[in-house]
Amino acid sequence: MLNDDKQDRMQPSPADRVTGHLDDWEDLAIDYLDGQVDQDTKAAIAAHLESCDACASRLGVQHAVCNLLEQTSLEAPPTDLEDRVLGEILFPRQPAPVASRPAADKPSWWSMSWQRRFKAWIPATVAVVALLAAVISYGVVRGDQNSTMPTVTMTTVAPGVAAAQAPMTEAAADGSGENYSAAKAAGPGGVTSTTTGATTTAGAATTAAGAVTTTVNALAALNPTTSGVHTDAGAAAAGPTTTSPGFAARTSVTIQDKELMVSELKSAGSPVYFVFEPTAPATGEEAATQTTADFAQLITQFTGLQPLDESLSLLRTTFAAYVPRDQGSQLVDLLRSIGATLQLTVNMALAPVETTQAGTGDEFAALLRQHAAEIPEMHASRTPQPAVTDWTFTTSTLSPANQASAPPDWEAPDQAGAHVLIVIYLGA
Amino acid sequence: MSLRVIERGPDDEIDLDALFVERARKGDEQALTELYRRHQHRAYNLALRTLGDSWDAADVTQEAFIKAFRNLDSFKGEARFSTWLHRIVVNAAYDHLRRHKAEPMDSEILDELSGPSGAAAVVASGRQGIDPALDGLSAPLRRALMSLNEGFRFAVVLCDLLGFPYGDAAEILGVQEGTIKSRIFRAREALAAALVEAGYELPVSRGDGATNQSGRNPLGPDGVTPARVIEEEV
Repeated sequence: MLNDDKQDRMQPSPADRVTGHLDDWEDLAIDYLDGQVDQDTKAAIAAHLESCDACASRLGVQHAVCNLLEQTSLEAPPTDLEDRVLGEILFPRQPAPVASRPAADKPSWWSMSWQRRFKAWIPATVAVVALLAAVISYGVVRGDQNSTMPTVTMTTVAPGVAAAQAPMTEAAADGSGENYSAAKAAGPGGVTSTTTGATTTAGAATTAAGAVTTTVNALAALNPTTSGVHTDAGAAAAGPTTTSPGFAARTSVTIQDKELMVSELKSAGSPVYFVFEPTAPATGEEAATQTTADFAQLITQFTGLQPLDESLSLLRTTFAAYVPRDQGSQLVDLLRSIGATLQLTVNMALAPVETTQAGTGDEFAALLRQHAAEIPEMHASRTPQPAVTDWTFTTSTLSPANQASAPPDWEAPDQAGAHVLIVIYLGA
Repeated sequence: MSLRVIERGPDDEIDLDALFVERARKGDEQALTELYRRHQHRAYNLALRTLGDSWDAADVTQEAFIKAFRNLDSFKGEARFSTWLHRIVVNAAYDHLRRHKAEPMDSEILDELSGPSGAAAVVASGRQGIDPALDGLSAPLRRALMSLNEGFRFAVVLCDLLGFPYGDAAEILGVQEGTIKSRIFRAREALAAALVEAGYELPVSRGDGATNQSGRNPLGPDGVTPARVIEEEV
């Protein structure tokens, strides 16, 4: 529609170009449809169309498609997108997990200018962003040299507005063997880290007014008989807090943010749970059954995984696999695509969200561990498009499923560190 | 005779975006929110229609807005904010596509396109399943859009779906305006073919009546009166 002045000077009469058929003057045809050609050109094109049915019909197609597209209404962006964008500007996420927070960690220009005034402004929902991006710390403790018993404790402090100014507390390394902790801070949020020992879990939470504290313990013991690990101390040891009533100590923290999921997968102990939950409340039993079948079918179709035996299932159909940590992104993409197809939301958690048939999350994890050798390895690779059908997955079983027993020196892939054990299941 | 087309907001002579950008630079969070709300629909739909997946679209839109807002200082005002922002969205979308596919770059394919036979090549190698995420664009049209090669898809989404003037689309995609028109032309033909193949009936009329489409789908920024298109003789 904008006439190019330069072109005008070089070709004072675009009408001269209207020779041959449409393909030779596509651009003019476009302008003609928009009523953006001069009289001479318009006449020349009209004359050609008069004598050439083929071109007239092609131009008709152009017109029809253009109309169709123009009349198509736009989709509304996800409602949480605004908070995701503005929240990220408000609470810039710290880059990688670091052992100690650099003192010279300079707040961004934006966060500085906003910290001064965001009180009056932040939508309440930004708190949700703060929760998702909140501080997560792990302490992974290895037991004695023969049996490996990773204990993962996650304490999340979602700062309220007041808590946002709380000072950061570093994790104190404690316990025997290899120890490391990683703290990720969400901007000005307060950080609380929890240290774990081999037989007790002591969670110490420091929260400011209005903060919500949740603690998740996910315990995986390779050899349950030697474990003797208790994980229920987290809440009792949580110290003086102002935790809102109703937040049970073992409430699972779920993550929906993709980046967070991927970064968690990179560092998480095992296993990690992906639970698919209805986006909208279920509409009757039939719908639920339908979804269950679809869910199982899609997961099998796109991952090659087979449902776990009923004794190993969580609420409903459950899958487990070892996934290379560096392919977490593809895995999350895949799961979310499947979720979108079934209109289910995918959450990641470090413990089962619901009570399980197998008992507590810890018992389930222990049970899963006994079958570690039967769990397949899943490689994720994604070809062309984000469309679900373009995903290709291959699975290779590390150790044949029906093999009587794993060799004595067999080590589960996640113990070697390169893999993470994931559990995929359909929630309530 | 030369026509110059000027877009103006409801408050004549005032580029609201520029105003908001200026205020946002000074830390005015309300101005930033306003900028987001004015452009979120087009930015998101640009990503959605070029990527075909609502999750990916949200991620890419988020990434683009954050990048834009963090780099407001580098927005010098040579381009309009809308153009600048959508160029960032396009880049983010291209990056996303590149990360997730191992196909030859489209420019290579585009370079080989010439003449009438080109239309066939506009359609990328049979890509079927489109994420049937919740959205309004009818399935056949969505599928047809996703079957286009990227260069064509971006052009037709920007111009026909989102109503960007060809000149703006050219600036956003970094190509000549003539190239945009050519891509639009072929994209529409390819779309029509794909729709017909899918059994969709296209309400086709003879194209000899050049309808006066004054103002191509003039979608303004959200929440404000669509910009008026004023033609002035220069």
